[in-house]
Amino acid sequence: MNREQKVALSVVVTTLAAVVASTIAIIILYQKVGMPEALKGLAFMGFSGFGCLSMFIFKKEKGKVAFDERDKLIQKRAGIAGFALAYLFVGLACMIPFFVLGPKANISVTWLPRIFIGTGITHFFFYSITILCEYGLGSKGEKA
Amino acid sequence: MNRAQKIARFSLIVVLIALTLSAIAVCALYFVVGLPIQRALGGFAFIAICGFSGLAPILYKKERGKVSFDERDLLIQKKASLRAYTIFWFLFVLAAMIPFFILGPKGTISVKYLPAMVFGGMITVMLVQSIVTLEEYGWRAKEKNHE
Repeated sequence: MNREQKVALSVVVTTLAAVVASTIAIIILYQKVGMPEALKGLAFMGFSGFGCLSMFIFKKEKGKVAFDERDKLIQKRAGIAGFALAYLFVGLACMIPFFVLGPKANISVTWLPRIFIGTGITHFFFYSITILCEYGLGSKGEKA
Repeated sequence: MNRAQKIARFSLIVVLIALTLSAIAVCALYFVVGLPIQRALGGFAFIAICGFSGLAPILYKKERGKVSFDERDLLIQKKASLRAYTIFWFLFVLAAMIPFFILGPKGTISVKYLPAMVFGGMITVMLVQSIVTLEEYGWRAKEKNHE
C-alpha cells in the first residue's frame, strides 16, 4: 500500500466514523430535545478533520521516487470525481431548502459555512474513495 | 477546428450572451425603469439562455469512422475540468463566507441566495471550462488538430 492509499484510507475511515457518530448524536438529541437543537450533533463531523493528520503521519520517504505519471493521472481523476460529487452536494444542499421553505423564506446565515464545510468533506471523501478504487484497497505489488 | 473546440466556442458564446443580456436587463430595469434592486435583479432571468449550451453536442455530432478523441484530447479535457472546478471552489468559498462575516452569525439571508450560488457556480464552470479548452487547443483551427 503506497502513501496515497494510506492517506485515502484514513480519510475514508475518519469521515465514516464522523458520520456514524453524528447520526447517533442526532438521534439521541432528537429524542431528548427535539429537532433544531438535535442538529448540534453535527458537531461530531469535526472528527473528519483528523483524516488530514494522516498526511503528516504517513510522511514522504526521502530519496525514493514516490510519484510517477500514473499516480498523477489517478490523482487528477480523483480530483475531478471529488469535485463533481461535491458539486452534486452543493446542488442538493442549496436547492432542497429553497423548495422546502419556498422562495419567500429567510434562513440563518450560518447555513452557508455549514454547506461549505459539508462540500469540503464530500470532496475529500469521494476523492479518497476514487483513489482507493483506482489503486485498489490492498497492495498489488507496486512499491511506494 | 475539432469537435471539442467547436463545443467550447459555442458554450462560451452562449454564456457570454446570457451574461451580457442579464447585465443590460438589470441595469435597464434599475436605472431606466426605476424598479427597486430586488425586482431589477429579475433581469437575471436571461441567464436561462445558458441552457442552449446543452445543444452543442447535438449540433456538433461525432463523425463516424473518424478518430475524434485521443490521449491529448483527454488530457486537455481533464485539465479544463480541474481548472474550472478549482475556480468554482474558490468562488464558492467566497460566496459562502462573505455573507457570514458581513451579516454576523445571527444574520439571515433570503433562501433565493442558495439557488443563485448553484447557478452561479454552474456558469463559472462552463465559462472556465470553455476558455481553458480553447486556450489549450488554440482559439483558431490548426493543422495539427483533427481537422
